[in-house]
Amino acid sequence: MSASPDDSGRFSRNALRAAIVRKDLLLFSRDWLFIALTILSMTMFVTLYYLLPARVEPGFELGVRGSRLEPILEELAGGEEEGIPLRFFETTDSLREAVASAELDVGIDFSDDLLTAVAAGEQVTVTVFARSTLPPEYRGAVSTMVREIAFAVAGHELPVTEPDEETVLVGRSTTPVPIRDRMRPLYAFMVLVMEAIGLATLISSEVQQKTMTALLATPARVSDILLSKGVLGTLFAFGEAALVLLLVRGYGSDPAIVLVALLLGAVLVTGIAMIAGAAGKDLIGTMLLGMLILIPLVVPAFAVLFPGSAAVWMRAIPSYGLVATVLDSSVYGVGWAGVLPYLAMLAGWCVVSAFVGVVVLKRRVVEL
Amino acid sequence: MRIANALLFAKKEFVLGPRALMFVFLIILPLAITLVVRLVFGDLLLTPPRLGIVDEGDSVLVSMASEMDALETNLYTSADALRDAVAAGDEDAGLVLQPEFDARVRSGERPMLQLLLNGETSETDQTVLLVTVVDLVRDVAGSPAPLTVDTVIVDDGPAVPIVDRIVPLLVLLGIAFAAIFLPASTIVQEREARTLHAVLATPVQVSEVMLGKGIAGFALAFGMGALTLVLNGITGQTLSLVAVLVVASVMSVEVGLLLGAAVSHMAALFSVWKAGGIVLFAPAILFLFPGAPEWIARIFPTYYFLGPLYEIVVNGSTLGSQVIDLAVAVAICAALVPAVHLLSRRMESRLALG
Repeated sequence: MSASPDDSGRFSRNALRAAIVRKDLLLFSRDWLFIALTILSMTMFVTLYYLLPARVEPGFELGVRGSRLEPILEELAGGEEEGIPLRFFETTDSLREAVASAELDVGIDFSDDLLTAVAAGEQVTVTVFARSTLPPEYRGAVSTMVREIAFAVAGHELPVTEPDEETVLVGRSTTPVPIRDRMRPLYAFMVLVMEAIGLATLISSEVQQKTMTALLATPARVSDILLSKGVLGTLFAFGEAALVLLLVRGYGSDPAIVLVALLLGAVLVTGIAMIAGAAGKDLIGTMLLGMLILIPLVVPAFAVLFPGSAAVWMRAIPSYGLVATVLDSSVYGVGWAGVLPYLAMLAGWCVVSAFVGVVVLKRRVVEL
Repeated sequence: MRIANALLFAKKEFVLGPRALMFVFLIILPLAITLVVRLVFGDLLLTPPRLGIVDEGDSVLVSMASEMDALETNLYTSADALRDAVAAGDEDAGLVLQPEFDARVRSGERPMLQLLLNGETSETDQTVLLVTVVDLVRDVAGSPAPLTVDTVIVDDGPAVPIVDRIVPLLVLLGIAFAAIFLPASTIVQEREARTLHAVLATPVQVSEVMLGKGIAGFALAFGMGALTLVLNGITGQTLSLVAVLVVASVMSVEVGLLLGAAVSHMAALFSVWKAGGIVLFAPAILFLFPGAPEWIARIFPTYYFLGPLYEIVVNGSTLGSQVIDLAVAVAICAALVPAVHLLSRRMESRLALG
């Protein structure tokens, strides 16, 4: 430490805290393995983001054999650009083989005389080849499509009037959100979790090696040590998560919202790191305890990968506010008013986490 | 190297292991994660397209829709509540049936179809919902279909729930903790506690200790992998699954021994674990999303046992069809053997130097 006393021989509290932070930063900066692996893990998160598809892939591809049916089929399947992709086959055997070899999940084999038979009012049978892994809802939908084709061929109009697309589509987005964009909160939270476990093990090693006790032999108080560790842990976690989100274009229209959420998230995990660091009996115990606390917190980040409202119990998980804010701001462009309840909830959990973390760690340091 | 000594060390790991908190954690953690993941995500992966309905009259369409396996139907009391549910993504689609809907359809009046679709629902599901609703309306109208549909299942694979896509991730969790983290951390711990130095003063070789830890890690990993499969109700194709689990456990143990021999202190091991986690788990996470390109997963070495596991568990493939990927995994295992040997020798030299 390099804090210097003032003229009266007293040490400024802030100078002491800054000195402790500098000492820890120096220790981190000398650990090349830590630096290299931190950069590597962040690079891999970003690489994974850009490798994942930028659009939502269709649930299945439909194979079809049948002459003169292409225009009707393409209209029913949702058009060429969207909906269910179609692939046309020349023979029944080639269609069946494509499905059997898992090239396709399902194929429709229309008989050559379908058009004339249906027009003449004769009952015909159409064969649908499906794989056992095709979900039943898709299997049923394909059968339904076949019947609709027959109605269209027979000239039966729909018994209802179809609304236009603008009236039908509702929701926060009128197009499906690619999974890689929905994963942004997961990236951010995983980075925070990794840093929290790193901080917990650092605290644990200092507790075991009695470095913290040694610091108490200096003018530094317990509160100075705890504050320094808290600030350092928060800044590290926040800095890394902010950088990763910047690289995966996760700031949306108002970057300040995401930055505030990340800062609060960093405080939350730092508090947890203090709890795990103080409670673990050794490094392994600390890491496992940290994981045991942090794994349930990752659940909301996985849950938002699927559209729909979160269950009440999931909203009660401390990390939900962070995940919801990052998702709403970066994907849906929600403003301050929309995310304020989430941020307030997250801030509340931060207070709890930081308070418990400080109390537990202080007790441990004093015991030493 | 004497195998008997290695087996003795493996036995020691099992006898003394359960006394250590870490050992218990490493067994409980994957099982707890399995339970949580199945509870939390099981429903999300299983749910068919959801259709919310408001029936302002007394339409038979409601009971017809609720009998369909292809849909999950939920009833709402007002059009506004339904619109909110669809907009929030709680329903993939919403259908408002006006008073006298059935009678107007049957009379050929062609009432407006009041259908709402959630914009975020996949285009495939939107098409499925639209076509299904239209089909239901045709049934209400009493229009007999001009043809019959014969569905032929062309493979003999089992009908496996989609939720089983998550199984490779759960199996990997069990194996990775037991086969990678356990041997690596105990080796590093013993180096830090200098118990490995003490071994050098006996006729026992460090390589025998390493092999003992490897055997213990392998047995535990294989057991955890098998237990995870059983807990998830995967019991068919036993021989194929055993083969995949053996390869997975061997590769993981080798990685664990490599780490244990290469890393000198626990903090460094955590750093490696932190960065290496994504390499281990990326293929298993990608399997959750069928749209993700397979070539991305193939970049990662764990794909070569996770891929066959996924194909066997989810697609009902045979081991024969997965032999190339599994052969690559075996080749990776073989390539790791000299690396483990070299690093063990280097570690032994360093221990001898103090």
